[in-house]
Amino acid sequence: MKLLPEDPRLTAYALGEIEDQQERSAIKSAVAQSTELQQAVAAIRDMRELLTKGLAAEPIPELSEFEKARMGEPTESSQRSVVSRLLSWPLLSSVAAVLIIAFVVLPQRSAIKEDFAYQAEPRKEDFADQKLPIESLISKFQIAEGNPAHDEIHAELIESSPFQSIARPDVKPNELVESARSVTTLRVAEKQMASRVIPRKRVIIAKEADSDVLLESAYSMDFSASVKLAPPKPKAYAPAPPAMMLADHGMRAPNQARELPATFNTEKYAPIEESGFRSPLVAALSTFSIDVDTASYANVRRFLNQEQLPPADALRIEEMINYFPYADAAPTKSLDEGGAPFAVHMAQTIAPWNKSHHLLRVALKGYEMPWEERPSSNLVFLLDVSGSMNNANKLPLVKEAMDLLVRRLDGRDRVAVVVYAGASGLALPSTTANNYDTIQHAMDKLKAGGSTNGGEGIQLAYKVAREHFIEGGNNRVILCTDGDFNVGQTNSGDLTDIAEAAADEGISLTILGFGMGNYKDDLLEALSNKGKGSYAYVDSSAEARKVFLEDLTGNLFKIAKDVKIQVEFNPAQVNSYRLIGYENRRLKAEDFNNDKKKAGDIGPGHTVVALYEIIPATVDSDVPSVDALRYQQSVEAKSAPGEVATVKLRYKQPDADVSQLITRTVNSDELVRFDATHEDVRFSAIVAAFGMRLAGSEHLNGLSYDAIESIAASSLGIDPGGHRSEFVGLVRRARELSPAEAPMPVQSHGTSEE
Amino acid sequence: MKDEQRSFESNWMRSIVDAHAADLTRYAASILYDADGAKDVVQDVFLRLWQEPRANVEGHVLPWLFRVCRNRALDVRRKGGRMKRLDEASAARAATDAPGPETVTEQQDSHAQILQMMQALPENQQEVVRLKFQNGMSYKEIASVTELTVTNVGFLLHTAINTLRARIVASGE
Repeated sequence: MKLLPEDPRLTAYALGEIEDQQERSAIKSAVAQSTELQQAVAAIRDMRELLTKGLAAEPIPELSEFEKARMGEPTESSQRSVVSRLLSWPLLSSVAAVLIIAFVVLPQRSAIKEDFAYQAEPRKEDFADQKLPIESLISKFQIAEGNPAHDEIHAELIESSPFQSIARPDVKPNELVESARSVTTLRVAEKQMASRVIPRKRVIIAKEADSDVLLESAYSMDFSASVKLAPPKPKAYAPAPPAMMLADHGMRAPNQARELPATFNTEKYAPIEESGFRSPLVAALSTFSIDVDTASYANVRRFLNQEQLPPADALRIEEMINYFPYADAAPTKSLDEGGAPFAVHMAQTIAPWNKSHHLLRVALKGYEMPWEERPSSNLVFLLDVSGSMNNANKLPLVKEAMDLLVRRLDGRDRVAVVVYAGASGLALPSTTANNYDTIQHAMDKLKAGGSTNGGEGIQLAYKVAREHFIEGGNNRVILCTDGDFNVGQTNSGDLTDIAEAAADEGISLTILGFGMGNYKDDLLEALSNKGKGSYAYVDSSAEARKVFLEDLTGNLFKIAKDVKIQVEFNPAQVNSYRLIGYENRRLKAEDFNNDKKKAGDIGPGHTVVALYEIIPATVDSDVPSVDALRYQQSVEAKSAPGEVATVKLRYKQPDADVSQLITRTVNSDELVRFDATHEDVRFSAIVAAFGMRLAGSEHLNGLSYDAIESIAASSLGIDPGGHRSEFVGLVRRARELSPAEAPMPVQSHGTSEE
Repeated sequence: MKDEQRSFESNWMRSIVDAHAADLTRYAASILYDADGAKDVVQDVFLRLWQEPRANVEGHVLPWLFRVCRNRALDVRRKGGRMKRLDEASAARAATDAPGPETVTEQQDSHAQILQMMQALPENQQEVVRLKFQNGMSYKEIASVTELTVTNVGFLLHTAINTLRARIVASGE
């Protein structure tokens, strides 16, 4: 067995965590043969000592005997305190609680059965690998009350795993509803719970009467009481008819998508046709617009975490590559001092999936604008609060994301919130961002219900943005939706026209996609392209944090616009070439110099990476070619023996109409062996390979998931944010899900020389 | 008869509290940056344990406790009630740290240093490091607490250790 010091199995071995005896002895003998590995093992163990001692020295909050006693006697003291907390709220004697219930089909796969109640809220935090339990576990109910002074009760249905169906003896469950389709019986947690008015109107209905429920409710009350008591709304909230709720695909449990793909999954993706190889004699120029979006990767991750392979059309490889931070150097001179908005980096290496092919990596790295240098912002959030957003991984996540953002803004910035559903409305008039409480209050009041009229909402949002337009600032509408534009102006053409017109006035559109099931990827992508903004998919709190904290300046501001790339290949060096990804970003060759032709923007700190796969002239290929041109060849053709290609970039300053040109040549002697090239080059190449693998690309030459995983694992680098480690986990998951490729036996991982 | 059962359970409970309360509180505090909040969380955890049929947790009490603790703490943090900023919280933690006997040795400095370096890691890496080296859990147990796969735990730990090693080398030790 060949083992590299970077292999995580070595760490596992050093820590005594390899359970398989065969594997352990294989690693042992590999270590015995290599002093390098021995050193690595020793270093890991030193680190263990250091960490164990260091962490043991970390102070423990002191627990008094009284506190300990309280912990040890929960039935006597603490439970009473929970109950007494409950009892401190006024009883509602005249409740006619009508429950309108949309059921979820319950997943069977939750192996972790104990903490279902806590899973009811999204809090995946940084553990993006976690399954998405939220949808599967809860669904919101709307409870209309007899008493008009109170607004609706949001109840949450909490599902427990089948393992847990033994009812606790001490609590008597009150049967409430039997779902026709579900095998599960829903029970009210406790009679008293349902018949008690809780100021925040949260009742939790559990399948099983369980004191978790009491606890959970007690918490929400406790919390709401300490934060604020919203005045009751005068009008009862019209509950959606059950039929509509049932049809709401967003509520479906994730693994059901696999069972009923045809009837339930209405996600939409525009078809992607992979670029094939072209001879430079046929097409010497390759022209495309940059793309800084990252949505595709997050969406792919969501699929894999749900244990599904993503559909090929959901794979936009450039968005997968550009999801990751790379260490390419940014320009150091600030924009005010006349620095270039981005730096251009080139690298050539061998394609990891085909030894006779080369890869050309073109990377643009935007100037990293310090947060204080940012222009003032006029942000209008356009929130979809339709029924389909009524889901723990949608609206609550939107609120969380907004909260992250608003906390970073200040008095120079303005925030407004427009909501749209059956009717659209202004939930928060444009307010300066230092009025945090006002904004927070408006966000707290948001709730989902009704159907979507995206068109009307967009118009209102742009109107608000126009009214508070900041000259020279960052004027932007941020659309948060699951993409279900199902009422009114649904024609995607009309919507994109509105977005395009607004972009011309200087109002950009950023789109954040949430949720799943009826997610309209194609529409959202087209909209953000026309609206000259970015498009990201938010599937977890961790992703919200990435989009709003790590990538924030990049996503909200632009430092150059209409960035286009054109590459001219030299037929003397290049038999044929192929642009990986960017399928829907290709431009006509003549559009490159046409400043009227729009293209993608680049924000501060953004890295945009494009990869070309090149078949060198020395390699035979069956790519169709043409005879040398008889009349044009001699006019300008230069004898440039060492030049592989010329890369040209055009961009405009954010407020300019005339583009600037950057030209670089790529020489054949700059080729670096794959294993000797920078980890960023390797990592971007392997992300491309993963996308190609998932898409079933013929160009991949049969590179296995194992090989991809192994290369990715050896290209982690410093991995700020842990995104690359997560990627490695996704590759493994994809392999497990691929029927053709059963998990390989222990030994070889791509570095297959035994 | 019932009382007997009860006191038996109670003793069992008490032994678990004695064994794990402190570790759980420290763990919850590492998520919440708040000792008082952490105590509340841990109390909730034991309340849940009391309600859990013993057969369900017997044999894997430790990961069970940590998982429930983690979820509860993240829940509290997500609701934002008690979350403090990191720097503020660690300052508070340093301040409440009782000044031990007058043996502020170099070793303690290096402990503080490694803790500080650890806090620069991504949160998910910090967490697995903590569970592994502070609470002595196996990859499997950590996976069950954090709801990650064992492989993922392996990667996170591996990456964390490599990063820390590199930083120690860089800091000239």
